This record gives sequence, C-alpha cells and structure tokens, in this order.
Amino acid sequence: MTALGTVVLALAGLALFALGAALGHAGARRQQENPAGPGTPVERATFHTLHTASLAAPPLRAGLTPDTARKAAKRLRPLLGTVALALTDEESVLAWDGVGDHHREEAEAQLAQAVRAGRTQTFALSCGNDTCPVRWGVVAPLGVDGRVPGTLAAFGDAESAVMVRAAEEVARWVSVQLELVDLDRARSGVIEAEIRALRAQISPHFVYNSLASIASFVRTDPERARELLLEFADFTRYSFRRGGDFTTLAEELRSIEQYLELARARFGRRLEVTLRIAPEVLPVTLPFLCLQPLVENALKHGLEESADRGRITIIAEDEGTEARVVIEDDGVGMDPQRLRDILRGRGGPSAGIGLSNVDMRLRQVYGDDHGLVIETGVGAGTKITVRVPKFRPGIRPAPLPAG
Amino acid sequence: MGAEPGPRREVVTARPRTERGGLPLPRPANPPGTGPAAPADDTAVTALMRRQMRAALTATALLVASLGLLPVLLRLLPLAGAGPSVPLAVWLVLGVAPYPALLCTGAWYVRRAERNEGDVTAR
Amino acid sequence: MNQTYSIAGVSAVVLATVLVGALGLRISRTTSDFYVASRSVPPRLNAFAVSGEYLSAASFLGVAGLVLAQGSDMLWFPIGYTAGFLVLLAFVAAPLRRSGAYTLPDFAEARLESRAVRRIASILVVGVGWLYLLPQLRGAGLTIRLLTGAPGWLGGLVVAAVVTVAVAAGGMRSITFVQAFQYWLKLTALLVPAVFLLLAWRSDHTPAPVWDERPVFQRSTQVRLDGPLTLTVEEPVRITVTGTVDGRARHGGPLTLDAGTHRIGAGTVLRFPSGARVPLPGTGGAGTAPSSGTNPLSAGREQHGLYTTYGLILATFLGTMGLPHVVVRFYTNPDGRAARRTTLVVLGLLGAFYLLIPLYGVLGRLYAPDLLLTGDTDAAVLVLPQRLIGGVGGDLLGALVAGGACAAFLSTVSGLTMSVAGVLAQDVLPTLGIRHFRLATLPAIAVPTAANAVVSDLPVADAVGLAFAVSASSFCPLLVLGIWWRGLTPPGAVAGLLLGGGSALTAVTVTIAGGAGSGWLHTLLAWPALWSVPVGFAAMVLISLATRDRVPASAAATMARLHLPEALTGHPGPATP
Repeated sequence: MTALGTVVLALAGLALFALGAALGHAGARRQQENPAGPGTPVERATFHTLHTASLAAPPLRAGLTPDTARKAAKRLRPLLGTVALALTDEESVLAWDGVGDHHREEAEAQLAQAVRAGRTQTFALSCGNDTCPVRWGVVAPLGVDGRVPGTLAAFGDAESAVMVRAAEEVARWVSVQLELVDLDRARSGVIEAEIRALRAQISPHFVYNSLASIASFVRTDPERARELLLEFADFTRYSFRRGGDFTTLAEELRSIEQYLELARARFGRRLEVTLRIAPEVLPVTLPFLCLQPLVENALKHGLEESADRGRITIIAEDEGTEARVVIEDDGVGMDPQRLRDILRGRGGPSAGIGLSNVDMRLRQVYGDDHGLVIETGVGAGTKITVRVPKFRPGIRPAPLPAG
Repeated sequence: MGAEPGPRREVVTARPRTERGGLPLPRPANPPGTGPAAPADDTAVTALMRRQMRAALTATALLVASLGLLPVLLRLLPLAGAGPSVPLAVWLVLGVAPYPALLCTGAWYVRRAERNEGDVTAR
Repeated sequence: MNQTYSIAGVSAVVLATVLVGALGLRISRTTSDFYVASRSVPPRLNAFAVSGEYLSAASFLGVAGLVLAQGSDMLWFPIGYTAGFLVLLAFVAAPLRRSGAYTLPDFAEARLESRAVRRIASILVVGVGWLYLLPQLRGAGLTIRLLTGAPGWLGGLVVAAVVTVAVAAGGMRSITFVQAFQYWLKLTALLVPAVFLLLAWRSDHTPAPVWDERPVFQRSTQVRLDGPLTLTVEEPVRITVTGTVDGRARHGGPLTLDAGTHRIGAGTVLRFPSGARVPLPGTGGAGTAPSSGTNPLSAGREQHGLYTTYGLILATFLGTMGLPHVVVRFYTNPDGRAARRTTLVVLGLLGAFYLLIPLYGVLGRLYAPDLLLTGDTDAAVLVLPQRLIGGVGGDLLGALVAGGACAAFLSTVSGLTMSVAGVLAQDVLPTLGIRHFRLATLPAIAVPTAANAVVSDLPVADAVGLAFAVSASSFCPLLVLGIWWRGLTPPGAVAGLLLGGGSALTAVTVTIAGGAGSGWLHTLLAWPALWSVPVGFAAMVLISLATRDRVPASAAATMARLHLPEALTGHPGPATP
C-alpha cells in the first residue's frame, strides 16, 4: 500500500512540477523554435537573421530605456557580428554589449555630431591596451518621426565599409520599432479618448424622458417626484464623475438601479425588472459604465420598440475566478447580421454605439476572451453576457467623489 | 427567463481585433486611469505601517508569551506527584482558556488598528 | 449505530444544503430591495461563511479522535487552528483585501509584478489544496463506512462525485449562505448531543474522567477486530475470546492474557471485563499514549514530544493565512476594515466550536476506549451518542452528529475544490481555456481522491497538519514580507517559495509515503515547520537583499495601497454618502 502510495504521490508531484516548468518555458520556447531548419545555407542564414531580429523587437516596443536597450543590444550584436555594440540616447550610452566598455566616454563624445547631423559618423579610437579589439567605431543615428532620439554604435578592430552599411541597416530597423512605440501610444490615447467620449454619452433622450416623467409626478405625487429627482441627481453624479476608469460591480449596479427606477417612472407597470445578484461578486472591479449601456439597450429593445410589457433580468454570478453578468430582455431582439456590423463599428452613427464601445473596452482591458457574447434574433429577445475576471494586475476601482 | 419558444437566437460576438493576431494580449502595464494612486505621502505611509506593525507585534507577543511558553511549562512543572486536580487544570488551560484569550487579543488589535487608520484619515 | 437514522440525518443535511443554496438565490431574486439592503456581505455573515468552510472533518472528527488516542497534548490542534486566525488578523487580513487579490497567485502578482512568482505560487496553492483535501475525503470515507459499511475509499469517491456534480452544475452559487448555514449546522450537531451526553454522564454516577493515563474499560466491552493485530498487555487480564489468539483458535472460552505481546487473528471477538486497562495495539513502547497501529506520525510524536508540539504550533499559527479556501473568502469583504472585523468574528465562532471538542475527547476516553484497539479513533464523536444514551434518543443524536460530520466535509471539500479549480483553470492548465473553470474541478478533486484510495493509514488531523506546514513555509513568508517589507524582490520570493515550500512539500510527501523510517530524521520530516519556515523566511530575505535592484518600481505605491484606508486610496467603501 505504502509503496503504491509513494509511486502515486511522486508521480503526481512530478507531473505538477513538470507542468509548471513547461509553462515557464512555454513562452520562451515559442519564440526560440530552432531557426536552423531545412533549406540552403543562404535561406538558413536569412531565417536566422529574421529570427534574431524578432527577438530584439519586443524590448524595443517598450521604448528606449537602459533596461530595454540592454536586452535589445544583447540580441542585435550577433546580427552585426561585431565585438561591441551600444545603444545610446542623444548624449549618453544606454547599454553596451560586448567588450571594450572602457571606451564608453570616448564613444559618447562622438554622439553629438551624429545626432546633430543625422548622418552616420565613423571614428577611430585610441587605446593603451594592445589586446583591446575596439579600435574603430561607427555611430548610426536612429530616426523617429524626424527626430533623432538616440544612436546605434558598433565597434571593430579596423575600418570596414560593410560594417558601416550593416550598422545603418540595423539602425533603420531599430528606428521602425521605435516608431511603432509612438503608434502604440497614440492608439491607447485614442482608446482612452473613446472611453471618455462614451462616458459623456448618457443619452439626451434619457435625460429628457426622465425629467418629463418626474415633471408628471410633481402635482399628483410630489413625494415620488422628490425621490425620483434625488435618484436622478445621484445617477448623473455617478455618470459624469471625473477621474478613474474603473469602478466596482456594486457601484455600477447601484447606478443601474437608479436608472431603472427612473425608467419605471416612465413605463410604470409595463416594465418588470428582476435582479439576481450574488453578493460574492459585488467587490469585482470593472470598467466604469460598462453595464449601463447594456441595460439601456435592453430597455430600448425590450420596451421602447413594443407596446407590450417587457421584462429585464440582470444576473451577476460567481464563476470561480470570474464574475459573470447576464443582461436579458424579452423584447423585439436584433437582427444578428446587423448586430455584427454594429460590433465591427459599421452600424451607422445612431445604432448601438454603446454596445460596440463596451465590447471594445472590455477587450482592451481584459483581452479578446472577454468581449460581449450576445444571443439574439429578430423577435427573440436579447441576452448579453459579460465575464469579468475578479483580479487583473493594475486594475483598481477609483475613489468615489467626495461629498 | 430563458429563450422563449419561437424565433431562435444566434450567438454574436465581435471578431477578435486583427492587429492582435493570435498573440496573447499584452497586459497594459498601466491601464488608463490606474496610474500611481493619489500621491500618497510616503512618510505618512511609513509612519502608519510602523504603528500597525507595532500593534501586530504586540498581539503576537501576547500570543507567544501565553500560548507559546505553555508546552515548556507543562513539560517542566512536576505534575506527576501533584494532586488529582492538576490534570483537570491542564485540560482547562489547554481546552478552554485559550479561546477567550484569543478573542480578547483580537478585539484589542482591531480597535488599535482602526484607531491608527482613523488618525491618518482624519489628518 | 442505527443506519436508517444516520442515513436520514446525512440526507437531511445534503437536502438542506441544496435548499439553502436555492433559497439564497430566491431571496436575492424577489426585488431590487434586497440588493440595496445588502450592498455587500456584512462581516458577520462572511465570518459565518469563513468558519463554515474552515471547520472541516479534521476539526469535527479528527481532533476528538486524537485526544481520545493521545490525551491533552492533542488539544494544541484546535488551539492552533484558531490562533492561526489571530496571526492572519494581525499581519494579513486588511492589506490582503486591499491588494484586490482573489487568490494567492493574484497577490503575488499584484505585489511583485512577476509572472514567475505567480506561477510558482499557483503550483504551491494546488499542492496545499490537494494535501488538505486528502484528509477531508478520508473523513468522508470514514463517516460513510460507519454509517453504511461501505469501504472507505468508496465513501471518498461518493463525496468527490457529489461535490463535482454540485460545483459543475452551478449548485454552489449562493456559496456564502450555504457555508454560513453549515457553520450553524456543525455547531448544533456538536452542541445538542454534548448537552445530552453530559446529562447521561451524570446519570451514570459521574465516573471520574481518565485524563492522560491509559484508558480503562468502564463497562464489560466486546471488541470485534476486522484485521489481524498485535496487542501489548501490561498487566494480566482475563477475557473471553472467539477467534484466534497467538495462533490458537478459541471458541468463546475465557482466557488470561499475560503481560507481553499477543497476536490476534482477523475477525476475532474479544470481551474485556469492566475495569480492565485497554491494551496497546502494536509492539508497545515506552510512551504512555497508545499509537494507533502503523500510523507513522504518532510514533515520532511520542519520542520527541516538545519538538512536535512546537512544530504543530508553528505550522498552524502561520499556515492558516495560506490556505487557499480561506484566502478567497476575504475577497467577499467590501474593504480592509470589514476584512479585519470578519476575522475577529471568526475567532469567536471557532472558539465556540472548539470549546466542545475536549468534552468529546474526555467522554471518548471514558466510554469508547475500544476504538484504540480497532484504530478507528476518528469515529469517537460519531459513536458516543449511541454508547452513552442508546435507544431512539441515541439514534437521533447519532443522526445529528452524522449530519454535522457530513456538513463538515461537504463544505470544506467544496470550498477547496472550487479554489483549487480556480487556480488550475487560470494558471496551471491555461490550455483548457479560461472558460473551463468547471472542467478544472475534475483534476482538482480526482487527484486527492486517487491518493486517498492509496494512502490508507493517515489520521485525519495529522494530514491536515502537513498541509498547514507547507502553507506556513511558503505563503506565510510571501504574505508577511510582501505586506510589511518594501525590499522583497521577485527572485527573493521565488527562492523562498521554492526552498521553504518545496522542502516542506518534499518532507511531507516522504512522510506520507512512509519513506523516512523512524527516529529524529523521521520526526524532522513529519513535523517540518520548525526548520522549513525559517528556511523560507531566510531565503526570501537574503535573496531579496542580494537582488536589491529588482525591487518592483511600484513597491512604494503598492505599500501605500495595502496599508492606507480605502477612503484615501481608492476603493469605494461600504457606505456611500
């Protein structure tokens, strides 16, 4: 019995650790697939070059800093086949890979010229050490968007036209990578702007309709009108608040409740709402105002476009490491093809900007696995499912506005 | 709830954005809006941490001084020749006494920790 | 033991659990008012749930069994199980909640921004979870064997299947309510019989308790031994035997067992007279406490009492904070303050429960010493009502206790399975895809079920102690240093987790597999906490100091977030203006 136990436990433990180790190397292995595949020597050399370049790209895509420069230089030097390679900013060496580190200052003296002229410079280096292979250097400027944020410097023991050419080509390749950094930044800027834009998009119809229905109660039921007005104030304060792009599910649901309370004032008994919220998921953090547009959509298709009663169900459930939120209505539904267009951003100006924007933000924050899943058909109602991880590094709810 | 009989629903999702390809989504190192928190005063944090640490260590010291020394005491005291009420006392000390003591220490710590935080918030 | 009543009791518990699950949903279903009323889980409700999930078969059955077998030394188990929450309260509760982490790997990543640390933490979480599940399944098998006579591994399998189906079918949705209910059920199932047991004890002319000396048969007692056994008799005793003793067949005749060892054949029935000392199973030793059969752990405990007691204390005091199913429940708290208050209430709730355990242990030493011979000491709590009270009353109370035991392993097994499955789905088996949380429940519970079928001779509470030791040597350094020391670096954390947790895990595996023989080496391996916890801490501190340049850039901001009240840093508190 114990012998068998030993075997089983040892196997289980081994399997577990092997799995962990495999995972640990999975990412690296994916990138390090053997470049020396089939093909002629020339083809293999090409593969090798492309492969090395692809390894240097990821650090550079994070911008030019001492840390990324160090990682990139380590990959780039084999590409040039030089004894030493340096990446610099406008005035100092960020990373020096290879031998001859003591020439750092001497090389830095040559930077200003190359940066100012935007042209490749070659220069000889003096060295007291007879065995030092760093005798000669080439500095190629990096050009990004008309600026020169830094240079690539290569070093050898003698002047070589081939090396000048190679250094220039590699510098051009690095420049392209750095330009992509700017592109990335611009893109995330656009997405941030879109998030801000969505926030301001509490529909004017909603504001108008809410105020109209509150007004209708002022005479008949002043107390109700007062309550609704307070709900309206709370709701708008939440929706228009500044700062922070994340909130908790509890806060988001609270605002949705106020929204539905105002809608109920308008639709009366035609609107039936069922909320089924597992208290465990209330602290989950999620993008600000990412459920409200979905409820608005449900209200639109569930009630506004039909004369019958409409039912909206909102469910939030615990799913292990995720929370699952489902918003369902039994209204007129949507044409799946048209919905696809909307989600692709081709639905025209009026249609469901809310849906596609929420979808995009969820994907941006949590990855493509976490986009909206919509089940719908003409006349079949709509069911929208959102899955939010309970934890993502760096994502925290913003403070409530004071007061 | 659930799908009504009649028209069928179709599952619709947006297509994965092409620029991501099959690669895993790089996590935004600093997702929009989550940059460095409200400029927390570093010295205030350090001071609070010290005070909280002191409270935690005091609670732990109480725990170690009372329960942590018990096994040695029970081992060293010459219980063998003692009267018949001694085993009962040992069982009471091990079986009953620790729980109220733990609860009281915990209550003291919670009060202390909340007061420390209150001092920071009230600044 | 009357099977019909007990099975009815267990069925009632399962049914009630399902009902509470459904009812919890129903309450939240009616109107939106409920939601407004409970914008978050109040600390008290969450504390019920934490306690319900935490009080496992080890607490309900195992501790009383160990006390029956080995006396007051074993009362350190419940003390440690409770005091662990005090340490958790003082060092971890509020900052852990403020980190926003749901699981321990989440915390590692939030604090250190390192995928490598996250991955290693995930593997250790799964290891600790499996180690903790093992004794739960054993307790389940034991209970079901006593109730129905089914073999132990089958009982474990049945419980594993029930939990898998329940989790996979989404039956654990209103888990907070279910677990809170389970706490009160367990407390009731111990408290009500305890009152009647005390009354029965008094009407039995209040026999003096047998404290730490060797138990005596209070009444003339018949013991049936299922397997062959070696007994050590210290003073001659005249018994009646049907079966084989020392190789000779006996047929109900009287026999005097002389001092010394005797081999008893399988299926033998022995009747001891009232007042006889209970013979020791095994070849006997110098210790006063009998060892239960081939159990490797108690042997070491006798030889090195003080060391093992401190090993136990350190493991339970520091290990509670790293138990996966405890950590995930802290996420439910709305903020750090509520996390602290929850923990405080848990201290009270656990204390109330564990106050009852010594009572069962003492009564067990009085009225069920024959369990020492059969090795089923874990069954003490289950058989006492029948022994003392008997009749329909005893049957009913027995059914209540059986129901409580069932609640104990159901709640802990489901909680652990869900937290292990969560980590498996997210970190260890990402190829399954993140959507397959429910699929991950299968490996989460299949591995300990299989191990349970193979490892057969491990007392419930001892195995839990091993899980605590691993947790104390890996997650305690990670949490405590991560929360209180800015200088912790990812390489330091990796080294600490691997050296502390890894060495404890290895020691524990060797012990369970029976590979350590006996003597000091065995004791060191069976109670690793005293050396593996310092190893974990030292490795984390030293390697962090050696890699100072790797301190995460955000360490200062993270520290502020962990320690400052939410009002200053961000999270919305429970109260809104």
